[in-house]
Amino acid sequence: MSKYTTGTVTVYFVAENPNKVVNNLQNTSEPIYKYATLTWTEPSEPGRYHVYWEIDGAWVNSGQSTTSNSITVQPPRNATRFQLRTDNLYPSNIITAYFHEVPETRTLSYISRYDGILLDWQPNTLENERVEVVKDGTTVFTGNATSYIHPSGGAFKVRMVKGVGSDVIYGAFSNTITAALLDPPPPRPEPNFPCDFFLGVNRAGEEILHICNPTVVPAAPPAVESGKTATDWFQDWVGINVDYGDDTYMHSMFDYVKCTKYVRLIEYTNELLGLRTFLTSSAVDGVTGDPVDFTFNPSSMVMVVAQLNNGDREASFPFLQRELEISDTHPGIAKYRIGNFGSGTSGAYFNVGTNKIRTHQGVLAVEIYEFNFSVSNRALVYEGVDGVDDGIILNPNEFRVGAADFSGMFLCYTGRVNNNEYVNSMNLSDPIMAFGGNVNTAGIYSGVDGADSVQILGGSGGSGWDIEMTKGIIKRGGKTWFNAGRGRTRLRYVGKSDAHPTESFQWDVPEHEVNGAEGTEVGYVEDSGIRSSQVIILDSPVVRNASVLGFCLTPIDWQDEGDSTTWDELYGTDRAIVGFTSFGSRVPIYRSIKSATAGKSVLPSGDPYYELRYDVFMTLYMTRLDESTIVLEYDYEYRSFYGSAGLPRTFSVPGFSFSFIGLN
Amino acid sequence: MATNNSTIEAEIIGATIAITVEVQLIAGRDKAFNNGTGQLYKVAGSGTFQPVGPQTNIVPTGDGFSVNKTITYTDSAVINQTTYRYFYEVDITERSVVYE
Repeated sequence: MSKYTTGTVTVYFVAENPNKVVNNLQNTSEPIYKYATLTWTEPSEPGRYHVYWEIDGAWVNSGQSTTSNSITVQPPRNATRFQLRTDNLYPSNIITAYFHEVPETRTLSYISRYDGILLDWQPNTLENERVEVVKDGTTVFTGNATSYIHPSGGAFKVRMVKGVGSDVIYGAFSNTITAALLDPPPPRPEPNFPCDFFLGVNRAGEEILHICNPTVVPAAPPAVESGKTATDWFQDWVGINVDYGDDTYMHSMFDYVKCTKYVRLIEYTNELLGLRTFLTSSAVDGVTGDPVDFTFNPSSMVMVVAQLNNGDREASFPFLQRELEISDTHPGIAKYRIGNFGSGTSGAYFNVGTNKIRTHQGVLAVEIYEFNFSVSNRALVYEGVDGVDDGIILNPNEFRVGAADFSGMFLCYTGRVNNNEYVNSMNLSDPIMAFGGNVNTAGIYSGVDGADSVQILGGSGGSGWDIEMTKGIIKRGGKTWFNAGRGRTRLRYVGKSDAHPTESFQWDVPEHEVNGAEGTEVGYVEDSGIRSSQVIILDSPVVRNASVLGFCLTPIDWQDEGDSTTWDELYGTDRAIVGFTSFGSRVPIYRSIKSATAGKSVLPSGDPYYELRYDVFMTLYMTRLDESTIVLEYDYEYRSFYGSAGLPRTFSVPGFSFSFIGLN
Repeated sequence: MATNNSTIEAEIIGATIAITVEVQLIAGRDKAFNNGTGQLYKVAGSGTFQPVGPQTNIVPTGDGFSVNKTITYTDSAVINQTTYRYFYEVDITERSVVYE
């Protein structure tokens, strides 16, 4: 006989007792960060409830129990299910354990700066995560930030954390980086350059302030006529009794560019796709911080500046953008934006006539500066802002010469600046910005070489005048307001050259090859050039010789590209692009994004398929060829899809009325 | 030797333990089974196994080359909070098969 046996089965016998069984166990903190709070209803025969969790298929006693109807436990992350056992015998329903994913480990990188160490990590912080920054073993920051600047150097590492309070889960620490601050740049040289002040009456009998380069002072000054003498300090002035010339730095008869309004938008709403919206209703006075009513003035020169989270300022040229979509099934829909202002390539923009400005989420505040130029009849008009002639008043509290009031804010042109250089500003307190990059809080510029930089004098407030004649310096509120050693930095209006119209034009993208398999062919053409037929000749000598030109461009002539709404129907009146530049580099004025499609069908997946499609991206610039000549320069990229080289591939540029003013 | 794929399972039902045995045997090469017997064994705690329940006749299928039989038993002689172990044993012989 042969014997054959089964394996052995083991049973721990506990007689069933439904009165002891919990059947509604649940986890109220699902998914789990660190703690799970289990709740249930006690059965008709209560007892002590022991928590079990399943690990690798085996049930394990957690060691925790309670006689109430809830318990908070800290389960291991490899627990897959939970169960209660009344009196350690009678099993409840089983529930699945769900855990939040452990935050991904980040890769940390850094940039040493003058003002701190800028930390960045990839991947970026997710919405439900906070970053914890540890420096030399101590946590220095926790928050939902995507980058962080620490004011001193050290050894840094980061990790992500999810959850609230003590119920948190941590990711692993990143790599450690050790960084030190950049050695501070050498202090900005503050030149002392004694110059010639004259406060008195000129030949025409007008009371003037005249400051000029003393190197042009004749050896034997002519006889001095003195008019009213200034109070307090200037009892014995001797100077040149002349009107202004090329070497005059400052003269009360000059038509200065003044900043007539400075507001900041400081409240924002974050939107999708990393965008941020500022409303003009959140405007505050840029100097005092008090709330003010503000709406865009559609006919004044406006400069819009983005202040980034770290305090840097970015200014950019405004330009007109048109987006146009046309197809064989419906007429074109054109969208216009007037007043794009650059902040990287994010497409930040505002539209005069609306109440909002849209930027990317790296922008902390938007600043708006209005100047004493208005647009009238497609030209810029200088608006004098002088007041009542009260004679010459110069004391610590007031500085007026005749009707010229030197309080308020001035636009100070601080020249062209190159990457990593100090802007040649009067001080480091009033707002400094450049067109072509950003300026940090130390006054250092980063961006393309040769950018125009400016400062809004008086933009940081302050009062009380102080003059050091031997150094050629005037201060207001303790901050340098004028320094003869920095030369002629005010912008003053000297004249205009206007009414230079150009015609709209249209051209074809040349024939081109396509690449790719049939049905997926893509063609690509890019080109750039100068429109030799669109030339502007500056007809005013003072404008030709000016160091900075203000410009006012009004679109006046459009090609029909299937727009369903014309410019006139949209706006009713002219709209202008206004700015100023020294033409250190070409100036973008118009951008066109055009898409054309035909023969649309819908694939089973729901995606659209076009028999024919192309896109064109074009930017138009002003370029100054020489003293007298400004031309239009263009770049474009053209992409055709699905072999649609056969579509009409034209695109157009509007004609403009160009008007310039000279600023010196 | 024959091939043995027999299994045993146990389940608590009310105040009893229900045992289910699946006897599955396949005769060796050129062999067939004769009739045999089966018996369930049980031990409580750390004692020695004792037979429990009736002995069952084990009859091979059809031509005798395999055995497939399900045996159930309900054990009500159980005490709360006690560990029990069970196994089932089949006593059976094989004969040689001659092909003509």
